[in-house]
Amino acid sequence: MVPVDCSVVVALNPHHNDLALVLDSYVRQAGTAMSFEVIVVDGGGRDEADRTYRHHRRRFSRTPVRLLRIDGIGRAAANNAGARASRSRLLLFVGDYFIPAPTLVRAHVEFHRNVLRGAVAGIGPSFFPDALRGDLFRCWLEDSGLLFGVPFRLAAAHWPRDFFYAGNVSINRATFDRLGAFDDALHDTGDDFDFGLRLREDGGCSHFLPKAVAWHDHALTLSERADAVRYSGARARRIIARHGEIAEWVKFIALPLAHFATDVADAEERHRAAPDATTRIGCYQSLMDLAFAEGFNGVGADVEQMTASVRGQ
Amino acid sequence: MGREYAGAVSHADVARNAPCPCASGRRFKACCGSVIVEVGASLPDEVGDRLWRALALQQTGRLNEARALYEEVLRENADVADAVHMIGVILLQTGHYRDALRYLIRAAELFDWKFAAAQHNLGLALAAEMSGGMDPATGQLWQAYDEMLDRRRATRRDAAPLISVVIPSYNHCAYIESALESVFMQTYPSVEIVVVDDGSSDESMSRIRSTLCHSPFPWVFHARENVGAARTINESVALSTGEFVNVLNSDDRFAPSRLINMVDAVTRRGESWGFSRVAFLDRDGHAIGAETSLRAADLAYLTDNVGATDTLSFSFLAGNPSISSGALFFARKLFDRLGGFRDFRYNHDWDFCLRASLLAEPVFVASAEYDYRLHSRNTILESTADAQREVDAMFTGFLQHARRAGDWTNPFAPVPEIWGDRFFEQILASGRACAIPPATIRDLARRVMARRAPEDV
Repeated sequence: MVPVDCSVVVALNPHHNDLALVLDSYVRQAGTAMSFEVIVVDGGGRDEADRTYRHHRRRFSRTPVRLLRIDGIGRAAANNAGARASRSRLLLFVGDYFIPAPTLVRAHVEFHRNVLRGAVAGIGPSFFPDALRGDLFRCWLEDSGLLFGVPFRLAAAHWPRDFFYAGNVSINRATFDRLGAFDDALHDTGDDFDFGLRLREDGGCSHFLPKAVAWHDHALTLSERADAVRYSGARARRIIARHGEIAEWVKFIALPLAHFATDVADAEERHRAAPDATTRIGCYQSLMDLAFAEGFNGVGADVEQMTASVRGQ
Repeated sequence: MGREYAGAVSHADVARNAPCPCASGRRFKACCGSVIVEVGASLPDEVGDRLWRALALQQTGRLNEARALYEEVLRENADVADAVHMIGVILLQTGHYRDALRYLIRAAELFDWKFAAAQHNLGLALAAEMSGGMDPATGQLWQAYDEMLDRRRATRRDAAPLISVVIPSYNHCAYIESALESVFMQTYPSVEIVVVDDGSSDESMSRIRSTLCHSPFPWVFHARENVGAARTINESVALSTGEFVNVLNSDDRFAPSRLINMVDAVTRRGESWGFSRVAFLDRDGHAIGAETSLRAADLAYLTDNVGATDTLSFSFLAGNPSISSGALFFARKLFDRLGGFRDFRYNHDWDFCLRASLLAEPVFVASAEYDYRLHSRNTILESTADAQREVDAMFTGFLQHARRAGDWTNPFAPVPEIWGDRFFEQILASGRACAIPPATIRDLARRVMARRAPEDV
């Protein structure tokens, strides 16, 4: 197989976004002097994947996209399968609900051309498009940094060098393999966080790549997010057991559940007294804290029963 | 902002003159409390007490309570700049950029644009509101830049110009022989060496003379009283004749492949300047890795970031990824157009790069072709405060220069005329809001605020 400059791996999750739009956007990547492939890994959660891909191939016969079908696997295993199938020394993992800007792949490739050390990841931002950002909840979720772990709009001013997420990240394959890839056992939550901690322990770091823009094509709702946060809370114990040092970061969840419920009631009271964006956001925040604590304490969060759409958000 | 205390702080702990709870050893008012500036000057004690209490709450993460206290102050006097400023900071910390901007622009006005911390925070809020993807014009520039890189990589000319290695020497007798010998070992054949000793009081001069006797390349040596690094480099270049110039600081070394690789990457691509990655040495000449030295790690991170920014030129807005003047390789014509290095004690190389970026886009050589010695006598370590003042002055001058239309020849120069608001966004995000005139910041803020606010749907 002819090697390429970059292998993009897109693990499909059970989302409801426009997959055709995602696939087509990879055909429009800029950079004629760069070669890349896109490996879309369908773990069985997207019924329309085959049909959408065939349609895409008919319209773009020279598409860089290929589809791998492996039933019954989560995001971590799907990303690992894509990495194994790649023919590049540079891996780029991109979320399946992200529409890459034309400069995305090139930005990652160019960054790694200038970096000699292996344990360095390039991280691109994801932003809600204006049409979705017009909603206060989504705007707050993005700007507070709670959605992915950092507020990308402040990334140029302050970048936490140990930040890592699987949404839009490149890393050389040798380092990825040496660190043991994503942990299949973590399925679809915390797998990237866990990998990031291993990268950090290895002396690695990440850089923010402003040109690697991806558009977050997901009209995320409050209830969807609460479900996802509850699911993360349920999975958190496993991550804490593995990386004890993070227990300090989430020690607030040791508080009794009643504390979080009271916070929600207080926030709603404040909003009733002064209904504005600030007090509304106070409600969002307290609801998210409650959902995480519920998940952590096994309340209202039967992980195995949770709807598939919650996963991998 | 956003500095956190090591532990919880009670109100009694944060009297103005009490030791700062962050354990810095300084008084609270001179440390974490220094962001409150009006107390004692123009405000009644009772208001001041509430501001200190609010700040203590804010710095322990109790943001809602802190905000309530600041608002209490503002209900009695809406013009208390510290309270307006700090509410803006809380909003910035919690991701309410638009509201933060509203407060911070008012704080800057109340402070009459004379409080750097308020302008810094205003800059961050403004940069956050301005960012969020790419506008079509910026996207086109990014693509045009990548196409330029492709054309550059496809270009190759036959060229073997004379390279002048200029060595400003100052009290590095322990290292100067090693520096000179690293030039002797160059695999590139067309080299001349110019050494100017800047008034060394150690044995540098005798060692330079004895070592130059073994030089395979023609050389010039001049010694005189101390006048400083920038002027010494300029004098050295004036004594040289090469088409391209590479400085070598007297405590550093070239990798054997340095000149051939710089010629290949810069001269043979038809470019006029560039810089290479540096490797780090300890004072005994042993390699220092990023994993064993925090300073080496920070500098390596800065260099790695060159591929992350919009263009290579943009990387100089946030810091100096070339690390040392010795990592630079430039055409004499470019040097002459710039009028050489300006007399900055700590940042003459960074200043040179910023000004050069207006004339031509640099080339980056990813391999480490320069050995930079980290030791306690590195000039940059002398005084952080002085170095910062120098950076502020340098950027103010650079921005005045960058805003003058037609003063640049680099089609990707980091100037507003090419990059529009993207340029200001980067300057603001780099924490250099003080270098931008208030009228420009007001205009940017007005345009950002005119966009539609998110709705609660």
